[in-house]
Amino acid sequence: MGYSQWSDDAYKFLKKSRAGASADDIFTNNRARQASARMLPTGLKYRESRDSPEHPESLAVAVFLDETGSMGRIPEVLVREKLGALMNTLIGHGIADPQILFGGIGDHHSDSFPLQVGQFESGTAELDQWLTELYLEGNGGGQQRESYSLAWLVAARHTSCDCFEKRGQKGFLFTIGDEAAWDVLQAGALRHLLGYSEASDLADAQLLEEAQRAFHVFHIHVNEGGYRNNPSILGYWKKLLGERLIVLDDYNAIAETIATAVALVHGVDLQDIVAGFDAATARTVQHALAPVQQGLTTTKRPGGFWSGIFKL
Amino acid sequence: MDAAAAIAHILASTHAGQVLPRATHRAEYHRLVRALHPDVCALPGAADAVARLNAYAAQLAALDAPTDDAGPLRVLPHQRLRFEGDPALLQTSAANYQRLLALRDPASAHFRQYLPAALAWEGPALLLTTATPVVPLAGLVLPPEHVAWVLSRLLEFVAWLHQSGFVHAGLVPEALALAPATHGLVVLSFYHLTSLGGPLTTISGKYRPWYPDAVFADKRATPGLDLALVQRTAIALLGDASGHGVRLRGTVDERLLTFLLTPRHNAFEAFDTYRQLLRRLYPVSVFRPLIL
Repeated sequence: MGYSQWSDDAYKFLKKSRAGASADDIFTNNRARQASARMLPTGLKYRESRDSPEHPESLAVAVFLDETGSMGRIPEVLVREKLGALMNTLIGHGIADPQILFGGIGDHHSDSFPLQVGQFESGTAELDQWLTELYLEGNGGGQQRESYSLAWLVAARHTSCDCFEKRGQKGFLFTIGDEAAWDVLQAGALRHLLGYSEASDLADAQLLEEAQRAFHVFHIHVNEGGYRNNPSILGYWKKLLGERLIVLDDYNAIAETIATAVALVHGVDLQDIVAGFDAATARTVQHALAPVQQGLTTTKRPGGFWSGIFKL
Repeated sequence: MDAAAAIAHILASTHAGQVLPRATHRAEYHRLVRALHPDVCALPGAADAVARLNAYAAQLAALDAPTDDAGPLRVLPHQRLRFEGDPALLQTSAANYQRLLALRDPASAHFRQYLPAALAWEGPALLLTTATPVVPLAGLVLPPEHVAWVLSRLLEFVAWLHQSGFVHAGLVPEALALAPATHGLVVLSFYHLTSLGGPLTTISGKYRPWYPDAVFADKRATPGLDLALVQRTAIALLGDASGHGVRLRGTVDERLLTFLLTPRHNAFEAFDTYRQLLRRLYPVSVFRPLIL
């Protein structure tokens, strides 16, 4: 996957074609109340992000969107307005060949489809297709917990990416939501969801550590609505992720925030990136990423197989 | 095998190991070239077969001259390897080797077989001798049944090392060699060895992406660091040189892959868990000769 190209013109056409469409017109699986078979994880081997003549320096970026309740606004804003900002900000700041996988996360205790997984893509039509193929189940358990660690499981055990395997360069994994993650994925749920013949309970911290083998892992806490500034939820994420927790006050800036975080890790200056945004978006992104910037060790050569010894 | 069969075998091969044994590739290459060179062999395909042989010989020669964290090293006859890299790093490695040799408890006496038999200086180069013939692990790909015993040795070595209060911090393919005849393992270099739990100042540059994030955040020598490198090395040995492992899914037993992908933080527990897994993977213990 990931062989096609991003086109601003194609995206503008898609946006225009959706003017006046309802959310259910866009996310057509909502009406069927059924996730796309192509996005179900049962029997999932692995999703691939590969280099190609068109994309010789592919960089895997996995974005898992909370499909529950009010968080459904975020896939919608990406489809309607912000996919272009995401891709153009990345490409405009040295990430020449981003390949993005969109997935959906719900609550494995209460949802019928708590995990949906697309493919790594670069082209406008393909990215749009996977986004709009998400089924926004809209439930959630109401227990301040969702199954975000399913995204870490997929990244850790079910992705194979040339950026890491060929160049020793980690990909990026973003989960987005407004709650904490369940601390354990039960073996039974894993067997049911992913079709594992053998499984054991998997703790959130373990899965995070596994995902971090090949990904820079971030969580974007959408700091709006009922869980705004919730100390229990923020405390959970802060303890697990430290500076890789991004607290975002306006979900409309989600695309720019993701792209800016990626560019920051690649050593691009925050001011240079936000200079391309409108004033409100720039303020929101700067506010969200200030702690990230302070805590990150950025480099022009992130990862990579170097020779000799490396001094810590 | 007569000349015609040898030509057919060479031309049908897909990698060097099918034609030239890793351990004796130079002698085998010369034997085949003497028999098949177009100057002495008029059979069709002889020239192509010799061209293929030359390519394979070059690949294998490169494996005998890898570069480790200090610089080049050479595989020499008579169970010797010569490290020709940065003298300061070689001094560090030799000094750390002496720290391990100085351990006098019974377990350490047993684990001495995992260490070089001797180190000696040859000018600025460090000459390493092993008790048995060895093949550097770098560049090797082995069937799972052989990776099984290599991993067992590695985990056992790490458990002893941690029990002795050390972390190796550089258990990567270039730091290791296998003794095919005895299913033995020899650790070749000790550039980053330090006290368990103590500060960590250097790691392998080439394998930087293999180290857990905590290494960069905390700069401490934790048990999990050695175990992560051992897991990645086993994955490389199974055929994924990146050490990532996921693309082995479908070709390697899921239980083994899950073991290799799961973070471990206690060497004895990891070794114990692995021994239990081995009993499930290979219920009947059979010595499988390793022909390289």
